[in-house]
Amino acid sequence: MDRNEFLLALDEMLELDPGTLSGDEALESLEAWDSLAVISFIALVDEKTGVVVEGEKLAKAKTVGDLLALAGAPVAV
Amino acid sequence: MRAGVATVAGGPAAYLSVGGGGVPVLLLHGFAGDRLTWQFNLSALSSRRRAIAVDLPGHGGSTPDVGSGLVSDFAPWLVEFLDGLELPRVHLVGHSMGGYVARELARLAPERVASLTMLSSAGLGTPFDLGFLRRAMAPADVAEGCVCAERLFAGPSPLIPRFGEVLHAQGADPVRRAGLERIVERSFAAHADGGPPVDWSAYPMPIQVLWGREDRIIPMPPADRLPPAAPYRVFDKAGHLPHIEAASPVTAAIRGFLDSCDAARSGPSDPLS
Repeated sequence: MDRNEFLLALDEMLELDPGTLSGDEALESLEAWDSLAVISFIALVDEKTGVVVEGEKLAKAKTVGDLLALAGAPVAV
Repeated sequence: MRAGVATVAGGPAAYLSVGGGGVPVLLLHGFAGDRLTWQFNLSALSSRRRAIAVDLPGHGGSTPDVGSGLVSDFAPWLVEFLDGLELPRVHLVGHSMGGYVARELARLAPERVASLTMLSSAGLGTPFDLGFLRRAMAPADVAEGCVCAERLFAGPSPLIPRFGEVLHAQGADPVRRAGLERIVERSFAAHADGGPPVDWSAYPMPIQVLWGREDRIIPMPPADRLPPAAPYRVFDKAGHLPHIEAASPVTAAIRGFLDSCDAARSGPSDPLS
């Protein structure tokens, strides 16, 4: 799954319009990024890549780009 | 993932459910927590089975009615919850007070419990920080909530401010606060310096015990308080929230234990094992 596909999947998961997220957004600026989104994100990455995101690292994520890195998606465009 | 509310005679039960199949695992949070305490574990535990996290009475989105305030009275409510979701048998994982509740459920309905994982658990008859419970259920402001939250962790965590906010908001709700106070006074106050040991002969299911080495709320129990021959795993650099502070190894320990219990029950001759 490439970077854009992951961003679109995150848009859908957070109920945002497709193409909303670019990777630079701070997670604390996203109203929909909450504990339920954390659960969905871990499930999404597991489903798409088979990787189980480490909660300890996820707790430290500050931006959407950090999420992409945890998901193993290329961070740079 | 599905968020639902089950109709239970003792009052509604709010829960999250992820995945399907297998012998499901039911996760029980600790005092003043809720089902979201399992945010880092729930999905990872659902790879081979349905994973369900429920709010206990007086917590989260479930009934605010804590009844007598006795933790043991949550067990029949959970049996009704299992009936409502048509779950004949589950693995139980309980954190702190949730471990106490899980043990009570295992004693009440052992045929419904495939295994019991007690994580930083109350209800083992060992001393705990009663003063912390009283402070955490009603912090005067967010700052005091953060001081309480800090005590839960072994070290700095980016989650502490949020935990502090949640503790304060909870304490500001008079109904929620009254329920927590009743639980503390009825279930915990008399045993802060230690209570009677558990008669483990009443628990036929496999049991494992997990703990954070730096737990300041319920310090690590001595071996003679634990179920005989039960696996006892301790996680370094973790305080009272090892499922958050050491989420990956704790989740792996739970997964491994549940899988081994399932394999042992199906037996080596089972072609699917």
